[in-house]
Amino acid sequence: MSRAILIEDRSERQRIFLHRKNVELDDFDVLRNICGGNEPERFKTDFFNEERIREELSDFDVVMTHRSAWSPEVRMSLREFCEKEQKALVYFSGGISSTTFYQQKEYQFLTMNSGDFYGANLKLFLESLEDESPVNLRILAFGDNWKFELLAKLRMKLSNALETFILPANEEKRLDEQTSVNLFRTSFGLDDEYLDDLIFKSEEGEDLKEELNGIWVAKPNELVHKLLTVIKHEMQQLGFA
Amino acid sequence: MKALLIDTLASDYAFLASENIEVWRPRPIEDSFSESEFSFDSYCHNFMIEGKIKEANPSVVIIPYSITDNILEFTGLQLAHHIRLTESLGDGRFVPIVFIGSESPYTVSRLTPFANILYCEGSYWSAPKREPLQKLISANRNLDGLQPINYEDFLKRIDVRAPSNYESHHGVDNEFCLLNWSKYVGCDDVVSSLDNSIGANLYFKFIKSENPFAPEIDPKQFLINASGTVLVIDDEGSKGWYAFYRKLFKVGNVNLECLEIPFKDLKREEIISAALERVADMDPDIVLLDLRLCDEDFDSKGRDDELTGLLILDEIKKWNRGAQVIITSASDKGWNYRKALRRGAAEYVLKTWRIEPRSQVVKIRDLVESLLPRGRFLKTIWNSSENQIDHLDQQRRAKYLDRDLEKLLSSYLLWAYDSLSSTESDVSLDNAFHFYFLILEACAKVVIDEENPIEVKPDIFQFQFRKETRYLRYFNEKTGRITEKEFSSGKRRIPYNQKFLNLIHYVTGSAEISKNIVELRNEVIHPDVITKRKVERVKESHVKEVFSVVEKLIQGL
Repeated sequence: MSRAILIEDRSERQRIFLHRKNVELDDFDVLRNICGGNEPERFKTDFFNEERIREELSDFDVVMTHRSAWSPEVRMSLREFCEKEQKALVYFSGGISSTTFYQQKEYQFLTMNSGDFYGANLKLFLESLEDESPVNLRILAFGDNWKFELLAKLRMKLSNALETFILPANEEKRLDEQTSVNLFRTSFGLDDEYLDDLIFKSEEGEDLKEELNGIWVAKPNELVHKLLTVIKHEMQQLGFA
Repeated sequence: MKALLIDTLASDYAFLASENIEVWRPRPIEDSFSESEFSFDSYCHNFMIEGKIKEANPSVVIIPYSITDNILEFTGLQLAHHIRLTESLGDGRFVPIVFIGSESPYTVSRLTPFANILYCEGSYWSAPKREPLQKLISANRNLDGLQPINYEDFLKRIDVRAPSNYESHHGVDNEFCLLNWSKYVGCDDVVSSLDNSIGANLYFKFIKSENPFAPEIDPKQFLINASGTVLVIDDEGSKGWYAFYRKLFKVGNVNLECLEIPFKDLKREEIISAALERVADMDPDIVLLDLRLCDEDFDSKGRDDELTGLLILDEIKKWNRGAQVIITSASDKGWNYRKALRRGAAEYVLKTWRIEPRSQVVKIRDLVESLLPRGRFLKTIWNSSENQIDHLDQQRRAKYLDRDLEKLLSSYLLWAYDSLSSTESDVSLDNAFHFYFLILEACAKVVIDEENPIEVKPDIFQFQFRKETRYLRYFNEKTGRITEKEFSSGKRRIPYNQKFLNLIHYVTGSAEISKNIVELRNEVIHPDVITKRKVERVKESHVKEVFSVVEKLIQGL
């Protein structure tokens, strides 16, 4: 069953890029590649109708398409549809100079240059879909470094927390475990399976979870320092000192 | 004047605000996603550079590695490049920049080429913490910015790469070349349109900074003053090149057209077919032809022999070898240059900003001004030569003409054309003239019956034209004038000059043309006999004259 749909109106360009980057899209059952023949044209006609967008795309978790294939109105409709339906949307184009990724809850939106899109990261991303992993456009955007991206962002938030004392140092009420974890997630945006595993399911994480519950009020900064140590260790594992 | 710290919701550096640091949070990038042509460069240029930074004119700018949600996008580093590379900021370009981030510059340099800026003059780094940042920014210490005198060195140190694929086939390089060339000819429309469409692009700013434009006083000196017909075949025609050429040809009397078809939607065969149809319809003297016209042409594994432009060149040459084709391409591959010239292109002009634009614009101007008349001339000759060869073939088939003679005349026609079209020799006109005269020599026995002289008196012979029972006339060789006297001789053959003066007069009815051509032939073949004046070189007008005799002669066979 296809999880992702790729709509490309410039078939020759796709062929050339994939050939150069040694990527074979036919190898991926999770992808429906709409490229060549009359299909892209049919989509171009259909997508003027929002209902048809829904019919064509509702089965997919990810929609990837050449931005310039569409009129500004259709681009808007596609974005609105994907945002509403919480589907990941990727626009690639030669006119896009750098990668920009945005996530709001389940809705993920990525814009990138066509030359970067048709590359090794696409292969990694499709492999992750085949593994039945949740849709993670960071893989498409940042390749193997996607974990580093999450860790760096978490480290930044934790460091900032130390500077700003946003943790409730004067809060006297003890929080139950679930509330603590939820609060922590809300503050630091840990809503990601990889971070979740790293922080809460590892051996160290189990201790942290206990501490999180136990010292939330008394020593929040100690907790943050411990988390920073976990992150540092993980970054070292990834090859970054 | 305060330091300006660029903050985002994701980084949330509000806690770093102080008496000497203003924390400013631009509108979130996601607010721009609804723009149909959204790109980070335009967001950065329009809202930060042209907005807050220009307006605040800060003494120091503090920028996180990334000013979007994700650190690996390194949009803060890109913003810093924009600051350094935006000409309109004036001296504001050189402001000290403090980068903040938890990762060391070393780690960042492993992740992005933009990190080079961290190691340049005027750049500083701090962890995003109050104490080290305040220490760096403290009022007691004036941070040095980038010294303008070191700007060239800065440009060499940073690493700004072209996007891996640009929406046009040829990329930002092509547009920068177009911008520079347009400035030379004063094509303001193109300049302002490019500034609007691509002025925000970081790579474009980079190459613009590397190549500051030195304006010429009078753009008119670069405009082409000539007449003729020119066709532009360029997939970027509608994106500014056609407008550039329109300006370039504005002062002359050139009928300029551009093949305007949806290149990127068409297959190679369709492009070739459309191009040829237009060529046949317009009959251009010059075609300004790009080489890479469709996606297939950009396949590095593809065969360069099959570049669409080269295939169109072949078709143009099949249509009329005289049409002059100037390749205008961004491809700097030597083999493309050689192939194009081998396949009949008159010249190859590189569309690149890497060559000083003035020389390229002058090259185009000079080429077009010289090739327009040449194209007209050669097209006419080739067209007629082909007709003559067809006619000879028909005559041979109808058994009016001997096969050997037909082959010989056809060969002379082709060799003469090859000589004319050769740009390698300065005697190409002499050679062509000679080949055409050889045709006259070969045809003489068909027109004049020299084998059966009529003995009008004992040992006095006269000669007749084969198709008319009239005798050859006598030409005064000193004056070249035809006389009333019929030619007679004590020998059974006709002296060379008398034979050809008669032959040409027979064909053209003009004694003057006969005299001119025969005299010139003798000078070309025997320059040693001219003693009192300089030997005349063959000119295009002479070739036209002898060729018109050849045309009539062959048609009369």
